Amino acid sequence: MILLRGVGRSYGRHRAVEPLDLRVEAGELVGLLGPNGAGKTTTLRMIAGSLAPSEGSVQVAGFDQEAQPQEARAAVGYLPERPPVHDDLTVREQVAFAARLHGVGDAAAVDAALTRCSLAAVAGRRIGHLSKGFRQRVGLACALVHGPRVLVLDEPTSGLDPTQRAELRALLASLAGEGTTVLLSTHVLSDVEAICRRAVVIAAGRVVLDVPVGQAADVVVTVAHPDGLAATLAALPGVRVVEALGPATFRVQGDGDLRAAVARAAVDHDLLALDLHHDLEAAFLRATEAVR
Amino acid sequence: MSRVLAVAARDLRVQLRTPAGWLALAAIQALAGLFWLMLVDGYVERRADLVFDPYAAARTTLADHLVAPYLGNVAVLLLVLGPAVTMGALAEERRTGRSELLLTSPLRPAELVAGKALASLGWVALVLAGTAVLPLALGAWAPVDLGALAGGYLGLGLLGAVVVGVGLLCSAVTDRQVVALLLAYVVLMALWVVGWLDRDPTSLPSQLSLSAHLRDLLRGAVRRSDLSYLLLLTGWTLFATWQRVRTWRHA
Repeated sequence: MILLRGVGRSYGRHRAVEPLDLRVEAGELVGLLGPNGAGKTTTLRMIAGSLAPSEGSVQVAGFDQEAQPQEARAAVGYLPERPPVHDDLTVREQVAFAARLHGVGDAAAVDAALTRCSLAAVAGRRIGHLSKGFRQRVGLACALVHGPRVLVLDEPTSGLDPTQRAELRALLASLAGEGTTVLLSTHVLSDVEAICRRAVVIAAGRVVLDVPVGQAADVVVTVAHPDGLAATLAALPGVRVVEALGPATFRVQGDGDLRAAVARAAVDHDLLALDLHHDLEAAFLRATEAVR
Repeated sequence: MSRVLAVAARDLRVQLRTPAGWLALAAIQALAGLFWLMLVDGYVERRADLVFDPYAAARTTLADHLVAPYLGNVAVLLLVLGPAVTMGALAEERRTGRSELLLTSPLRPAELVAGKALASLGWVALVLAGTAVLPLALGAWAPVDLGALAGGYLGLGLLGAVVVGVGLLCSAVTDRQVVALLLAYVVLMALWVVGWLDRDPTSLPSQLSLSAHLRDLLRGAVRRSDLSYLLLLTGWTLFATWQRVRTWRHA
């Protein structure tokens, strides 16, 4: 579990992250989205422990990063955007080094991490000779080798080809299925839609959207008698925009799952059709537009 | 302790796997060999000039006129090439982002500094072992004072520790290797030449001077004050490095 309470970060006078609260449950797979410079990497680094927050508290697997740093860091695996690997080491040496930093001297754990990240075939090769995709996997193996309860990944799919991306998605889904808490930041919305149960959008250092992924959708409703429906829909809790797509068809945009509320309102106007447009991108753009 | 050894083993492995590490080692051995030949040549000439002097043997001992100058040259080589080995130890970790792996693991800042220091001291030990071959080989033909030689190498080892301490501190304050290298040179050179301001051994410049404290050690005269100075300087620089690394998460 990850728990942030009023966590903020400043670099000198620059405010990178406004105090934010975030809770990610055990076994949950959450996508952290946001425009460049939104504070995603800073937030992830504070969770992983490489950056101290200026205020607030970070708890990882029940351990406070400031009060119990050893325990918290033992529980977390972190893959930064640039994999923290040494070009002059072989893949096996690098993963074994990461294991030893966590007090894991067991060669079987290294082998398991290599196998899980499809690195067994290149275990003896120098990292400097590997492609970006393989380096990314080595970084992931380093993050996984000690069996962390919380996995924090910063742009894990950047530089991966479609096959590698699909493999990584499957790996993360299986880890979440085993109870590992996974928080990943990405610009690739399709990754979040494919594997995450929840999307959190950060902009200008603040959480501007926190929705279950399947519910980050617009509702399109068509009725037989549209008179007054637009006003009724606009008055519903959570609704932000009601757009007329035709004489009797409306697109409803807002926060959370609006289907039930829209359907109830539309029944009185002789509901003909109700459609969901899963559009995380639209929700992302709307959420970040307000703070631009 | 296992985490300290993990860091030290990785760094030493990388140092010995990269061309720069071997080049530095090879350069020191080659230059030390050259200096040795020049000193032997000069020593032989001096003894020849004093062939009719009944006190020649006492006035031109091997320890004072060959071994000590040789160790002095090795000391200068350590000062010049040591910072090249330590400059990237911490700066490069930060520049490349590899520090993220270290900072997000249970590795403590003190363990990181200890591991880095151990790796660099391993390199110093390799250098000193290589340079010791020549004076030891001389023992096959001439009476070499092994006690004095051991004292000299104790001094060189402690100088190596100071170089490592200063080098690591400079590498911790910046994420640019070249800046770390230049900083280390400035600090070490200042410590080396400060004694030239006042040759009186009791004066403050001499008390602060690296070269003044090494002078007698390289001749094999081991004094507590010299050992204390070198150990304290090493300890202080490593402590300051530790304090600096502790601030990384707050930068």
